[in-house]
Amino acid sequence: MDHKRIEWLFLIVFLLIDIYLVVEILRSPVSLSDSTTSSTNNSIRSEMRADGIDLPSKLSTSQASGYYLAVKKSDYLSSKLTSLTQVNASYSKTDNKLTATPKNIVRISGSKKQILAELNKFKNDSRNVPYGKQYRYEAIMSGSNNYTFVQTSEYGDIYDSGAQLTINIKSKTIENYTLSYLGPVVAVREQQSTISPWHAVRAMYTDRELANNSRVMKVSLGYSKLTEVRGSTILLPTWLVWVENKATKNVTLKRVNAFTAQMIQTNTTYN
Amino acid sequence: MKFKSKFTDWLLLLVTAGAIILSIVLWIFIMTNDQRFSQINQADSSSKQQLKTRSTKSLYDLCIPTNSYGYRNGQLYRLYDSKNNLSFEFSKDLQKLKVTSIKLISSSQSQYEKMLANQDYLQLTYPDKITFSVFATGTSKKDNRQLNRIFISTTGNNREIYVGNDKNYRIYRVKIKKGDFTRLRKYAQNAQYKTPIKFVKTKLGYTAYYTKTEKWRIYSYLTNKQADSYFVARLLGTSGVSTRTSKKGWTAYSLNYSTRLRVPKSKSNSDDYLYTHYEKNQYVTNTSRLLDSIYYVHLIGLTEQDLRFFDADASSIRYTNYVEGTPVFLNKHEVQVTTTFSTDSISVAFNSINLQIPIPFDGQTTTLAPTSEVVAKLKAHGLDESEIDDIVVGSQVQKDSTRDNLVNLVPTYYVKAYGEWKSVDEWMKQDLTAYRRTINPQKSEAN
Repeated sequence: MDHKRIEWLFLIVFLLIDIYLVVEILRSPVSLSDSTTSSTNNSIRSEMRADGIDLPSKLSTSQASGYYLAVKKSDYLSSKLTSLTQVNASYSKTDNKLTATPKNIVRISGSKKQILAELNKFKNDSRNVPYGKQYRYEAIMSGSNNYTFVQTSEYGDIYDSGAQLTINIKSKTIENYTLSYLGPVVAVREQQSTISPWHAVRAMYTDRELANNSRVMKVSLGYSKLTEVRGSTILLPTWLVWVENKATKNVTLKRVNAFTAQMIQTNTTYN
Repeated sequence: MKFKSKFTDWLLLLVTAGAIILSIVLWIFIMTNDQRFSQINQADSSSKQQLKTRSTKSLYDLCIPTNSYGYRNGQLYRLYDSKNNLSFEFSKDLQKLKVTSIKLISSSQSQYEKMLANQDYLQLTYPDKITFSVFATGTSKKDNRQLNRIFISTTGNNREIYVGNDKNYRIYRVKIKKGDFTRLRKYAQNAQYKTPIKFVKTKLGYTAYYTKTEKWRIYSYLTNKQADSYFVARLLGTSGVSTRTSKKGWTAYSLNYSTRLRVPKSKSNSDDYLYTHYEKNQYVTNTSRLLDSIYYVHLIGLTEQDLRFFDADASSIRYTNYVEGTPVFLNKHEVQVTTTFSTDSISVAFNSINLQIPIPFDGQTTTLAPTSEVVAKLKAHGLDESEIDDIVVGSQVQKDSTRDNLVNLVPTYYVKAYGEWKSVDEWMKQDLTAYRRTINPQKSEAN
């Protein structure tokens, strides 16, 4: 009888153990990775929405690529003055800027597209603008009477006050232009992967660089100055984030290091 | 009646025995199910993953092939192009494609060597073996088969690639979807640098031997490093951390006796940290080991821009920076991060130096002899070719005398033998008898 009782006891104990083990097996362990990452991303998105931050409808989560670039520091523009036969030009060595006024009236009129075509024709003529072909129109940095172009390179566009062409328009004619030129760029190291635009915006938000009630207008990859070393300027790829303050309508350009996701503190404000 | 009682007894015995057997089976199932363990590990990582910084990038940035080879007019070349980085291009292609099937097609040495000599394929190599499960999407998470070489047809086949393991000569045919290597082929065709090489069988695989004397560029970097507090905060947190200084002058920070960080001595020039986390580990698979080591690499918070998976052996996985296609060695022969696994702890030895700003190349070069000459020199010293696990051209970090935080990366040959990486100069100064003594008893045991 005792033997039977022990058997019953064994049966009950082992059944309980079995139930526990089955429950252990069925209880699915917390799963990692993509789902967690995407849910984190979603929660950051909703937090941003709650803070009144609007994002562009399509913000890529794909990585891009870029290079460390270098430019030898030199007076590239002063030697070009003599070839500028169609403009009256002056060069300031202190800020490396060339200012020029067309000798003859250059009329600019028509639709925006026509205006741009005229301006491109003007700047691409080396008698008007040295290295003019290396500049590309940037709408977001331009106003109704000033058209800003950025210096391009085979690696990407450079967003720096030292690599810019601004053409001023007055009474439907070109009033003057100011030009700065960094010089020809070379890659210092091999091509490397960068973070994604979404990653950059997220880093800005977590670093409190995105104010409440603002609108991220555009995110694009461009080169920014990092430092100067051994007579060269080092540039690195940055995510350029144009942020508009919803109340004041001021647009600020913020830069995020596209390799490390750190902020670069050289913000520029456009009105 | 008696029969009925006997029947109940039998039934009770049977059911009890069944319950006992079932519990044993279930217990064994739980204990041996590595997926379950790896999921628990990953689950653990996932909660820790919140700690990951924004600088963390994907697995594909850490585990990418670091060398590319191709044939031109019957000669094998190491292909390199800094503008159109071939490894990076392949890594991008890899992220887009999906593996649909993997089939073992050969495991003979002769077939493997035929494949290495096949001029219709571009070859990309990882510095050491990785597993299929971390190779690309579409592979099974449990697939722990290893690979270190990828063969991509130069004739435009985007539906399949071949993948090889130098150690066991296995070649797999990998069928893929959404693969497009057109750009990679074009870049390989027009690669800026082509260095003639030949593949030579070493202990762990086929190593690229440079067949001619080559000039290698010396690159320079401005460096920076994070303070101790940065690593303490990242690895141990900000509360409950205690500090202890040993008699020898080492300072160690610890948390709950289970996690410890030893920081470099304050007055030393060292940047070497040692993080130890004590926990019972079950590293059943190569994949779980690799994924866990990657988790710890992310956790440290070093700049991962140039950091790559470099070397793996039975207990350790190493990561180091790659600059212009060559691995960087610090303090003569150390790598940036070494993760070491044991049954009761994980330790991560790392160096905090960060190659921050690249300096434009100023024309300085160094000349390196053909690899076979170097190997012959080592042989004359007593290090036989058969003892060499691997030989690579690596960059030795040397401080520049002109500026405090300026370093030069000087290319030199590095050899892995007896499980250790050392520069050729170091091996030449090394008395090898001690190594032979430790290796020989093992050999005799194995025999």
